[in-house]
Amino acid sequence: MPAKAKYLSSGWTRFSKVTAAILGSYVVTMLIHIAIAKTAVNDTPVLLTSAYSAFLLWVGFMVLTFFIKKAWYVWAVYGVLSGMCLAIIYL
Amino acid sequence: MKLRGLGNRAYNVLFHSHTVAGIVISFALFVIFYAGAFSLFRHHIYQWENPAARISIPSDVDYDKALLKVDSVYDLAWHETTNMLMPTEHIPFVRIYGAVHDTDSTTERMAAFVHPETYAVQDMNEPPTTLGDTLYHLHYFRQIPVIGLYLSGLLALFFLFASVTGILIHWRNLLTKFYAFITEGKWKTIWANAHTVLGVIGLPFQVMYAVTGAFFGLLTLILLPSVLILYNGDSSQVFNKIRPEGNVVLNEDAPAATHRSLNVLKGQVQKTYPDFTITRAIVRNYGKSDALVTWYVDDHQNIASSGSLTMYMADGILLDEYSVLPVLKSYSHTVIDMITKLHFAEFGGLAIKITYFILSLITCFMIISGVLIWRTARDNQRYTLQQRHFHHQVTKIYLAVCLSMFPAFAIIFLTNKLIPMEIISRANWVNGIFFSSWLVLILIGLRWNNYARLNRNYLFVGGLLSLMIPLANGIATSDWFWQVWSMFPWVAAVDTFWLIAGLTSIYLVVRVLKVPTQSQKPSEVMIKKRKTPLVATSS
Repeated sequence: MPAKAKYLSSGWTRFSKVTAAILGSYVVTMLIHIAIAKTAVNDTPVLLTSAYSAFLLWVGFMVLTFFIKKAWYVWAVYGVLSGMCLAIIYL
Repeated sequence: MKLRGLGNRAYNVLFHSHTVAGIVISFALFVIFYAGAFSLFRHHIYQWENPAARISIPSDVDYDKALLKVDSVYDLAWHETTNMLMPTEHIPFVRIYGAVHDTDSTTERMAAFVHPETYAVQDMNEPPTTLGDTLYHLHYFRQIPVIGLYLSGLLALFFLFASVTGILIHWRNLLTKFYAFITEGKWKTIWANAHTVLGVIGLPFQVMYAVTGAFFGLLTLILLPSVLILYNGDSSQVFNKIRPEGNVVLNEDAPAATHRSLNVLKGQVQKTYPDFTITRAIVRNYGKSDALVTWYVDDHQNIASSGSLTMYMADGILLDEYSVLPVLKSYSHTVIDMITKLHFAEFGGLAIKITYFILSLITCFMIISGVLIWRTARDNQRYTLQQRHFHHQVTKIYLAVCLSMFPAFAIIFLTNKLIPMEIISRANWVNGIFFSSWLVLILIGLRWNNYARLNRNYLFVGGLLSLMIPLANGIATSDWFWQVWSMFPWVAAVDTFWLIAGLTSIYLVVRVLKVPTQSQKPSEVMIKKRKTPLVATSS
């Protein structure tokens, strides 16, 4: 019954994916929230909604990380998303 | 009927991440849910744990007197917030948490309980009993310095991850998982059915606890980036959004003045909100011209029914801008209160608490069954003896940690009654005995290589200890549970709970559980069985 090993990544790819799942997802989640708060007329509801939505989004990205096959692709997606959010926040 | 499931690769990858995340968090998550289940009743058991609290609350408690009495002992720093919790049917004392001037210019927090009749002050930095608090703190690992809370938050986060991946991998057969109550077949099938059925049915409850638990544990992690980027690092701005009374600026050097009494103001609030309980008052600059009080009210019947009413004590007129009106409050003022109410089961009375308690224990069982699937699915010849030893050891340690909690909890209740109330720092003794006996129970458990025996022995020991709890309470406080039902129902309820728990466990041990005699330790014999035919064909 255990998962079939032929589908699983190993070594650096695995390390890269786990890092992306935990840290990468966290950074993207927070940046998305802050970007929405920045564009909203009133940032208070956005900030307080993040008390639960942040965890749901964080875990959503975690699952997505494992869903995507290539680790570099995951990082690219997170890089682009973060870049877009940073642009909204600071421009 | 089958739903469209995941593709092969996605299924295997998510299955593996579910297994790894699950097996890493499982035993700690069990501790959280088990201790958490009991923590739901930590106030309810207070009269049981502290015989001095077995009094009824007089109708006219003088809150000004209580506050001034504490001030005379501690010399409170009035400019800081002083938090006063009203006596409840469970904890009949006025609980005051304030700040005192330290030797330098800083302040330090203090905690004291005031008797509602004699106004005697009991210092709570040296509490006579901490049973409920100890179990409550255990449920977020507060006993582990600094990182305990964050650790519990991360566990909640990975619990959410495990729940989501679990649902995804079972998506194809999700509908049948609602009623696959099958207790026949191989052990692997039984554990797998138990795990998936309880996981699917319990999903709303478990996701709610994963999210709200992560919130309490990882609040800093979520707020920090927003506070840094949006508020230039000033976190008080964020807290004042939730607790608007923090926005009122008070003069530290305001002149002393007479103002209305807390008792009068409380009566006034009670008249406006007749169906609500006033749970606490937060006071600043008491005794000064700009004295400010915020009353926290709640009817405990509604998910959005808590609120806070702020007023200057000079005139007692409600300050709308700094108040949060129950039920009518805005979304922003509701979110955090709602998360709190969901997590602590404070929105539907006792029925919700009992439901939560049962669902928590079901979640505990779901966690254990997950570990047992992991082990039974790996107990075969595709794994080396060394790997299988590892699986066995991990399972054994996990089961020992988790299942010994039942006797260990019985021990902390028992010790609470066996150590006389007069002994200095008795709470430390009780906690010390609890944690060391839990450790001893785990170590003894590691000697049993048969999971069924491990389970039965803990159940037996726990059952015997449980039966002694009502006895110990009766002898130590002479409040026998059949005598105090009408006076102190919760004292009797705790005794009855342990009596029923004890009798049930003993019955299960004697009548129901069948314990196979052989060890479950992986042995050389099984590996050889596989090798023999291979050798035979090659020679």
